[in-house]
Amino acid sequence: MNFTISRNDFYRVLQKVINVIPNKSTVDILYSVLLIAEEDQLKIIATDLEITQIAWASCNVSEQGSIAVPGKLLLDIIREMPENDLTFKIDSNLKIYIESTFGEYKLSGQNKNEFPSVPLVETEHKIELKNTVLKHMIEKTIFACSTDNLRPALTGVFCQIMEDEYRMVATDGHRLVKIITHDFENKEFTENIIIPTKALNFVARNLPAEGSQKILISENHILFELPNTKIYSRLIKDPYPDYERVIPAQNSKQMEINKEQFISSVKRVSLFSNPMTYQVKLSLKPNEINIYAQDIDFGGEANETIACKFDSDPLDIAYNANYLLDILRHLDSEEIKFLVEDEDGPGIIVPFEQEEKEEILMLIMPVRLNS
Amino acid sequence: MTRNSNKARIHVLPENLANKIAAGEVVERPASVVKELVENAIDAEATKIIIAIEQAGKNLIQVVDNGIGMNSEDIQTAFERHATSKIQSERDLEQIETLGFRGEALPSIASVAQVEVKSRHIKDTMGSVFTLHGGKDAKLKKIAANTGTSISVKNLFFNTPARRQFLRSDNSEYQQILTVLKRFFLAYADIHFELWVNGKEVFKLPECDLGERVEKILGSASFKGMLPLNASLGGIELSGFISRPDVVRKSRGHQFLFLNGRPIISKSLHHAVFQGYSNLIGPGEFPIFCLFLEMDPTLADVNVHPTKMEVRFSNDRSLYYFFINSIQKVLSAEGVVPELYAAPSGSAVQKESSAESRPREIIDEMKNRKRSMARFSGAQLSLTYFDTSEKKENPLQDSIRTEKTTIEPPAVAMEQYKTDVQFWQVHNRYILSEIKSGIVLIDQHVAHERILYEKISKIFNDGQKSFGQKLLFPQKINLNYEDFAILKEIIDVLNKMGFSIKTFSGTTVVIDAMPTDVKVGRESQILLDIIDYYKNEPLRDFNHTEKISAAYACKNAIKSGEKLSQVEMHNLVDQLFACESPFFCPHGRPVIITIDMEELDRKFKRIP
Repeated sequence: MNFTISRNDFYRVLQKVINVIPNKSTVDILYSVLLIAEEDQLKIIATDLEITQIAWASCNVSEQGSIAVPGKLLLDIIREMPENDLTFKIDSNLKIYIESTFGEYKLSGQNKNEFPSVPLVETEHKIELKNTVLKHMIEKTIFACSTDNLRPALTGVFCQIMEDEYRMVATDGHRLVKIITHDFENKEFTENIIIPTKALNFVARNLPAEGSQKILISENHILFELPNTKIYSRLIKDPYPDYERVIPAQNSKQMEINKEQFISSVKRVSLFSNPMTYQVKLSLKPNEINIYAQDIDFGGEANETIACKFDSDPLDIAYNANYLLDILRHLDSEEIKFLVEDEDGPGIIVPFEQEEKEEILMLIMPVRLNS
Repeated sequence: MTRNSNKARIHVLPENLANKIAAGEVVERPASVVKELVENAIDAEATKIIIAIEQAGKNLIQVVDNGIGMNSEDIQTAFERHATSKIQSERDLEQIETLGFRGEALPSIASVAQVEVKSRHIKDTMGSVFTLHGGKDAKLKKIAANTGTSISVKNLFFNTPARRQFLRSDNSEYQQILTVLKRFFLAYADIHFELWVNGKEVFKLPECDLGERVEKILGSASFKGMLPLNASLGGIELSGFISRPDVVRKSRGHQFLFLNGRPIISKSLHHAVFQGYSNLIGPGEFPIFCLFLEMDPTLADVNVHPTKMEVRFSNDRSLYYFFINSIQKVLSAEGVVPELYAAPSGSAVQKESSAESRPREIIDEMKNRKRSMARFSGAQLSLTYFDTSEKKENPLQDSIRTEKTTIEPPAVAMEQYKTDVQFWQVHNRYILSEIKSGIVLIDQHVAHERILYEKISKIFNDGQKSFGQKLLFPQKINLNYEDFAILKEIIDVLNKMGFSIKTFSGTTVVIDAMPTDVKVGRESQILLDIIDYYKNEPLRDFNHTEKISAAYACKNAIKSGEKLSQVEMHNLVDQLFACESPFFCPHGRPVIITIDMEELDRKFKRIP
């Protein structure tokens, strides 16, 4: 292998994939990236076995070949290199020689055969989504995913590909987000898949602001084809719970409130709540809402009343302030609607007016008072 | 033998035989002889008692006292059955204030040994010596003697070979004697005791106050870990010493209980002491205590068994709770911390002075810290996905920030704590921090366990409300029959904690709410974990609710090996020091260990 590449190109490509490298792994080779020089291109591959990312840049290849190199170390080296061309060579002992304008450097690599192979995604199932839409939907959903590895389905985002809409749903069993875009068309197939949160994070990070991207879905994998990079991810194959059934169709009590006011109030009050449970109580009264928290252990207590629009019978509901704030902060509209039935059932939060071609719904489960 | 023999078959046993039989109850082993003799000496108002033992009492037990003594007639009658100076009438039996009273001991002992009694009554001029050989061949002679009584018992069980054969090794019999004697030593600090074993002085205890006596008997190392206790309730007085929960033994050998000066064993009261420590001590650990109970003798019946160790109380239950309360009061007032003794006991003297007021200090220090942290660090709600960029929009946090920079903290003391409260996590298992006197190490798992346990206790004991986070997807779990049976036992308690579990047909259960402090990401396993724990963990002395609480606390607590953020560590420590007894987990494992600067300095040879 022998190639020459500009330091900046190399650095940019490497940076793209570097985050895929796991922080902790029992498989040592995963700390490495695979460099492949072929046909005037340098490809760099990183994987954690769940997610594989490939990025590339053009370069001057005088001899084809590939080698695995410790990723973080390589990044540190390249970062300090002068902004000129770098030449890479390897010998038969898997030594890598780097030449810069200042001198020569040598480090050890590993055989490319030890590096896990890139998953094959052979499929007819392709969809195309606008970058803005995809990015928006990812941002609105991944915060609500679960971290409980015992329920793998909930650790990913549930994506429903339908004929004229595309949905993403995330829940951890305490709150739920459902977002639908109608800016979508796909007449060929329908499919439900669960994409791991981490993969969506990488996708969001690598999405360009403009344009639209192709997404390929096979039996077990999904492939995002992005400019100068590809992200492969394994799909989560567990059954997703029947989320539609738990979203109440009709909550009779409706409150309308200014989101920013509500957020800052809840934030302030929650500082006084018990730091293990973050519990706040909302008392809905005609045209005002009272937010209350108490920390019995340390004697803290807070009580605020702000205006809202509400004309049903008064109602007290308790929530985990963190969940509530998470949800409120992920809604874009200035005014929101809060729909509840009773102190035991799910609360539904939606923007006062939905954006064009979009439907978003957030759901939060209350904290129940045991008496 | 023919059945229809005309000879009367039932007859009164000869006295000597009766005594031998009685000896089976009263004189079990050398230790019981020692006990009887010392009791007699004490009842004779002696102020100095010398005990001499040879070959663990098998050869010789001699007790010499300076009490009132006996005249020659008394000596003889003393060896008749049911002869006693200690009670006169039936009425006296209800208010026994002497140690002996049954009048069984001397004849019983005499029937199985060679006994010689020398005595002079305080009013007589001449003493007498009386010998008996296996209860027979009584001889009485007049001799010169000191006031008081000296009684020696030789060749115990010489005429009952079976008994003699069943005696244990010398060492074990000697230990038994020592146990008996220690009780007397403790009960009568105002009597001078001496113990000679095989011609060598083992104990010499001049009369002194109780504290000194306890220290001498338990050893000064243990005594340093003892806390004085004084309590009274409606004419009942309880005093003495109990050990801190970190000063424990692996056996009950260091537990002494006295009723009106009489050493007693009462299962229920021993249990009460144990309960007083509740979960501060671990399984297989026993606190050291030495407690004196003073009460109206008519309320207690000591005449349950000839050895008089067992006692029945007419107010058993109220005593039980009186004990628990008194002990809990002392322990909670102290707030005890285990220390890491890196140096051997050589440095104990120095440590004593600094250790005395320490536990409270640490709590106060940590609590003060909490206050300053909560106010100044804005107690960020870090749990998940908080967008840091948004923090600036929060007016309150901004004001806090300005306050922090412009306004001087009010008290100097606050300043001291406020600066740089740092926590480090060691191997994802322990939290390390600095305190005024050195460093403190906290076990994250047991710390959290303690916090959760107390929280649950508050729900059950103080009627605090519990909260359950409702689940969007009720979790359905199919249990096996065994687990299901256990769940049925504990389901009511769990539901009070904030769970909402319903049983369905078969062994299926559905959970639709969980306590709010179940950590995100740990929901699905917790019920099974609790069942397992409840099934397998032997939590002796825990009642049903406590056991379930402990199971919940253990299973819901942060595991060791879990990475914690700074804020999480702050929260954990804050909560821990808000606990009533932060130093031990429900099973009695220590939560906090402190290491003095002094200790460190010594390790680094900065000070000798």
